[in-house]
Amino acid sequence: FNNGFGRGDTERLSLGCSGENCVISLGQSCNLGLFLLWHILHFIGTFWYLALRIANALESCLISSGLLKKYKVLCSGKIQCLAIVVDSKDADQTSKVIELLQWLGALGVKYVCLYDTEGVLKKSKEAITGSGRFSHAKSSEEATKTDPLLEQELITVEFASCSDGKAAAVKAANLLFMKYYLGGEQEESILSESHVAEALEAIGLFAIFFPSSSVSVIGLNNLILMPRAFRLWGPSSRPSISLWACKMPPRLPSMKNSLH
Amino acid sequence: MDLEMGEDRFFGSSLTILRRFLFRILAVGPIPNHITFIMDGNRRYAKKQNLEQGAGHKAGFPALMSMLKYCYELGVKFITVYAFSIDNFKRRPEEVQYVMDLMQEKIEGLLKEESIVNQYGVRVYFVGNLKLLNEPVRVAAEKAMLATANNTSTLLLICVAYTSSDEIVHSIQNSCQEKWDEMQASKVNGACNGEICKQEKERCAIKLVDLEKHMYMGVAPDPDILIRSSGEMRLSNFLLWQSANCLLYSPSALWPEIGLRHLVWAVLNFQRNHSYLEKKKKHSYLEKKKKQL
Repeated sequence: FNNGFGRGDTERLSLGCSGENCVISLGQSCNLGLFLLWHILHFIGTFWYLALRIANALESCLISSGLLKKYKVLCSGKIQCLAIVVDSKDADQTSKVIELLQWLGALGVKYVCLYDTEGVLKKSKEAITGSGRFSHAKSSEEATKTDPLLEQELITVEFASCSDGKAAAVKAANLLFMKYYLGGEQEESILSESHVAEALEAIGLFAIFFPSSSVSVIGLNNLILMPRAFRLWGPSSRPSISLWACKMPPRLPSMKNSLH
Repeated sequence: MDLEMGEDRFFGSSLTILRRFLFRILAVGPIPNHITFIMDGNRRYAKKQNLEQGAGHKAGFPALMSMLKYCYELGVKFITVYAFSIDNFKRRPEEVQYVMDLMQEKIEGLLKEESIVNQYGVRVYFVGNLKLLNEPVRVAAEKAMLATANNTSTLLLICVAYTSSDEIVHSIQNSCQEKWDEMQASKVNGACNGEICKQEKERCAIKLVDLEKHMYMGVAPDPDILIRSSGEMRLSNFLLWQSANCLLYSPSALWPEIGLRHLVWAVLNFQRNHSYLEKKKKHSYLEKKKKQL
């Protein structure tokens, strides 16, 4: 950090000074004072977050015990799509991911999108969807052909990674260029959001169309970070995407808290 | 009366000195380069205070000026505010007109001598699909951008008639048009016997750097902190492309109630997580270089 305080400066402080050295030492004392005050501010922040963690842990215990009535029945029907961001380091813990999906199934969530930056979850796709009552999300055309009764019982899981974000937008741009500029006469019409949505669908990123959309994103980390270009493009009805963070590794009470 | 005014002035000066001292303390750690604000909660504030419709937006303006002043004093170089979304045009026409009139009044106020823009040497950019604005507001915005074009100290980006999805479409459109013009130019120069050859097509493929160049927000680096007031944890189609490695902070205060303590807390959180955020940004940069999109 830019406080200019070093070991040699300490010696000069302790031995005493005169003239110009005094001015320099005074400046360094001020820097030391600022440095200490900065640490005190951060200590207050750390203490606050520690208190918050203890409160969350207590609340988790109460949720698990069933004492808190408001968590007994979750209106999971309101959540049409739940998106979960998993750190790529934790994404290879397939058993934990399956456990998470099982909890979500028990809570009544029907559609889950799992995202990790490096695509580790995509590689474990078969292991995850093959293990339980989960189906892999299909394109919007294929989805309409499946048995509606079967669909009701399964959680549909979509897997996404960084390549489905900005990289997909680049592919869509090139597709649109080929179609509307190189494909024949240059179209004078301006590209619109529906053109981009069509291009994304053509490259394999289907848009999920919900009549009144609500998408919830839970980041499995203490930090609320928007994952890299996650879901840049939403359904045409433009959902409101609500964000929450819960602790890692995920625990059922904190998931319940976030969903509530 | 004079005594009261003197006391007020003394109190004001003391607060300023304390604030600047607090910023000196914060400056021991890393200071965010770019902070963005979603100014949410104006209408709820008006309802809470029993004000007339639209008065909440007016009440939110002093809060905006205060936050800008604090950010510039702290040393933040880039500030972005989400003033008006394309989706906001769907609101009641009277409310939209009120907000447009308020924007025009405040944009013209920015150009006055004593305004914050001249005090801190701020260059103002209006970012978004400005063609959707009515003419008086658009003209005022263009005038403000021209008048502050020579300011270099700090940048204020005001997002009006903006959504991320519109920005991405606009960027794709402009990238396609640019590539098309390049190909036409090389055809004219006789590069491929009048037909577009395979090599030319590959050279003219749109890359990530092309899209990012044509983004409305291409004039500023990605944000370090995104603050949304009123406790709502949503981005509402704001900076979806740019907020990949950005700290999100959502204080429960409504926009007109936001103050120094919220900014200080946001900066402290940024400093706590700075090394993690830097690691993420470095990782993104290295991946981008590897893929050479």
